[in-house]
Amino acid sequence: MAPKPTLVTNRIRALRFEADEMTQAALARAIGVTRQTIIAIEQGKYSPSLEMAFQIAHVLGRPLDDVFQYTPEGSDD
Amino acid sequence: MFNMSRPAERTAMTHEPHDLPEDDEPISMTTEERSVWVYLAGIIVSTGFYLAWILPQVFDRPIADVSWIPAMLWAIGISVGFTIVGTIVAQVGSAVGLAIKGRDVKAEMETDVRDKEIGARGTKASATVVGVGVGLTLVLTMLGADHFWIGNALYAAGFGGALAETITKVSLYRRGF
Repeated sequence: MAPKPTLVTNRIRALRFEADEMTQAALARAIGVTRQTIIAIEQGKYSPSLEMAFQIAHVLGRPLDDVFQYTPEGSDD
Repeated sequence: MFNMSRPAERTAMTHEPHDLPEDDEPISMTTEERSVWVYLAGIIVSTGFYLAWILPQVFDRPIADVSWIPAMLWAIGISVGFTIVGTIVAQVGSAVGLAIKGRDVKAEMETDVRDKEIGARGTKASATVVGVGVGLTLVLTMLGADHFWIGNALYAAGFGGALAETITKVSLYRRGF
């Protein structure tokens, strides 16, 4: 199986549901990207820039490390 | 007694796939990715046409007598025409499909930062292959090779560069980065 392209994981999908079931399209519109990019981020197929990560956290009303997590290889976290 | 898990975890656990918002469908192609697929198909079709035209000649006559110039011009024309027409058809079809689904056509068909990053990486892969190909063509020219070899080395460099670019982009779109 191909290795996951990024070690950064996120809880955007779960947090969208908490944010009044915000749709991918609504989140995409709020940060100025396509819905496909939101899907790619949620699936761990695209690591957003630091600025975009902050924008996502801001839109979801959460601190950055509540949205994104970094798990180094070999870590049990 | 009490559910002590964090709210988000509870939410994630209680949302089965059938509860997902309507737009949580599998990732669809962006406008740019669709164009890349059309371009890839165009270069494969045109190069297949070119090889089908000249390979029989290469094997049954001297290289200097092979009529490669009309074949190459046709192949380049087919590639350009296929890409233009294919892109128009694909984008119009996509816009109609999105409109039927009731989506925001403009927002769904925009190019964003991910497309630009993928585009830059694809261009870099292409430049490397084209650079090597042009270098080899230069060597052929210095050695006084027949025009057939010089012309075809340049064509191969262009084909290789386009192939490297499109495969890099498709891979980044599908597998992520």
